[in-house]
Amino acid sequence: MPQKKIFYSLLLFILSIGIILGTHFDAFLYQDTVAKVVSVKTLNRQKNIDEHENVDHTTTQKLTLEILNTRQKGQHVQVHNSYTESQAVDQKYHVGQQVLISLSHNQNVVIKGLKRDTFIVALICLTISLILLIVHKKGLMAIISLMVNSLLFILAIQLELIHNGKNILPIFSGLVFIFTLVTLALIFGLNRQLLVAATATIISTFISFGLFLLILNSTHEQGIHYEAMSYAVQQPKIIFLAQILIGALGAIMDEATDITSTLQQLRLENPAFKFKQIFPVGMGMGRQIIGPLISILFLIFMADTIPMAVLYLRNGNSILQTFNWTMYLGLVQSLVSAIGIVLTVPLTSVLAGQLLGGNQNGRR
Amino acid sequence: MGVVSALALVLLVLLLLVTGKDTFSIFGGLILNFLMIFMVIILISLGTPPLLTALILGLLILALIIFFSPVTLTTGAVAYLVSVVVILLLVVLILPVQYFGQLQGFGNESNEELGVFSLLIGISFPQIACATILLSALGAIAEASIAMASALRALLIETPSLSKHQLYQDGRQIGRKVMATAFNTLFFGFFGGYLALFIWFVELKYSPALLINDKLFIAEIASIIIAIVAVTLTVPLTTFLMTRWRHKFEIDNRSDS
Repeated sequence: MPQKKIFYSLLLFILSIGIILGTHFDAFLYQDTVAKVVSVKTLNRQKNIDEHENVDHTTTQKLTLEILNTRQKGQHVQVHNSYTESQAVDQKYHVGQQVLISLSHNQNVVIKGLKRDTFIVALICLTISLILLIVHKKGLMAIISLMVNSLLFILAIQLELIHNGKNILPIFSGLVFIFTLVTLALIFGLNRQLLVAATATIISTFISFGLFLLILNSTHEQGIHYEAMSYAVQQPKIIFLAQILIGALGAIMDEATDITSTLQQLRLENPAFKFKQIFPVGMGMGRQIIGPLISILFLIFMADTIPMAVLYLRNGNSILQTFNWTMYLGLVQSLVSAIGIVLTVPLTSVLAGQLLGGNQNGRR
Repeated sequence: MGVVSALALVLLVLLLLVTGKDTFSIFGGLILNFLMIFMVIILISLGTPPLLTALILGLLILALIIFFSPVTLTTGAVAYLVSVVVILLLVVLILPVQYFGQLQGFGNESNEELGVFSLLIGISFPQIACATILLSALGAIAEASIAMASALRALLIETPSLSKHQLYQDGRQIGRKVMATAFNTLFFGFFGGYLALFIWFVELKYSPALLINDKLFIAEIASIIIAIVAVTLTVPLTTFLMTRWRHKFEIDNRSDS
């Protein structure tokens, strides 16, 4: 066995190195011109004070780039790059970095951005290796589940595109069903536990969503500025609603899975147990995990607002304005998710109490 | 009444119905966490170093999540210690990730929306990017360490004679489950948070070549990966610490080694 282990580790290692090196030298695959920074000279540094009295510095650097692909391969071109100390939309370049550029006929160079493929591929390879190192090959299941979900996700967005973005909500509602069934089937297999966990997940998701729509209606959406959403120019409200549907799904499934498998175990160990004995155990478990689960999503949604909120505050906006325009939607999403997470506990406990028979042969 | 207040009210009522007296700690913890995030934003805007600010307040947020959840003091202590070690490891990991990925600030995608702002605000967006990535992983770290520590504690109490080797084996098995579910939570959480961005990419027909080098896209993927790594590191660390500290759970450890 250890020999096999060494073999697979070595294989993984060589494969990773291969992929990482491959992306480092993949310039020939690009249609855009790829170039490497071969020398950097700092030209000048200038102090800026803006109308809000923020002090920043703008530095101009002269970069010499070596072109790595296209017919101009091997040629050197020069370009000026200026970056600010805060680097909000610009960046400082170093020798050795690869960049994507566009090159006009008179050798006018514009840097389009850093080439990040090697970086992200290396990070993914390292992470997969770490997961396999820690939980061995059974960790593959978790990785596969992630990949299947990513694929479904890409398909859904493509589908949305085919419909010209007209059916975002129906598509993502359908996706809730598919995601739930696929993910939970990978965990439980096809049995009654799947039925319990999937039903609880789907019902909680849609009840919390319905409650949210009801609240939107009765409060006349007071306080919400959909136009504060980044990248959702065309129909921000619909896209926000789709985000709400999808965002808490993982946490809710997580919770429903935990409660269902524990209650199944309980029922197997005590076949005589009735609803009255099973239900409270589920509720007790739920109480323990609600808090941390809510925090996971809360921190994901709120941390995301930090860069924009800082920009707002430094541009002389009041704390209230900043809150309303940068944090409000994240907070709304956190709260709707939290409602779904809380609802899942009694729903799963009731369903498990009713449906998990003691003589049922589940996987666990 | 605003949407947030109405939602908060509904959440409060549901929590009272479902969790009874635990409502206070869950809801209170959530409010305190919100205040912490608010503090992070205000402090960074006042000019404190972003990453350090996020790290220090992050330690407080972890304490809030772990000790406001219904765990015993020893379990909580193990979970907290593990979380602190993991968050420090994350800082060490995030710095090179930011250096090589240059994930800071805003993409070309946001140009329109940024037009009215002065971007020369004198605060390092690379450091803010590190702070954001660090904070968005905190919840997952806390949840994984609590789940691991509670499960191992239950195991030790059930079978006090468990050998060290057996404990590691069981720890690995529990760890797999904790990881798989945490990955799911993170996956949907992040995709739910950035759906607008992904739809944008598809609508503007970003080519794969453009996408894999795009600052915003890569920044999101890197955030998910860092959170996944955080959970992955949490699992064996908790098992290790629980094995070391098993006597603290009033269990005979002479059968050990």
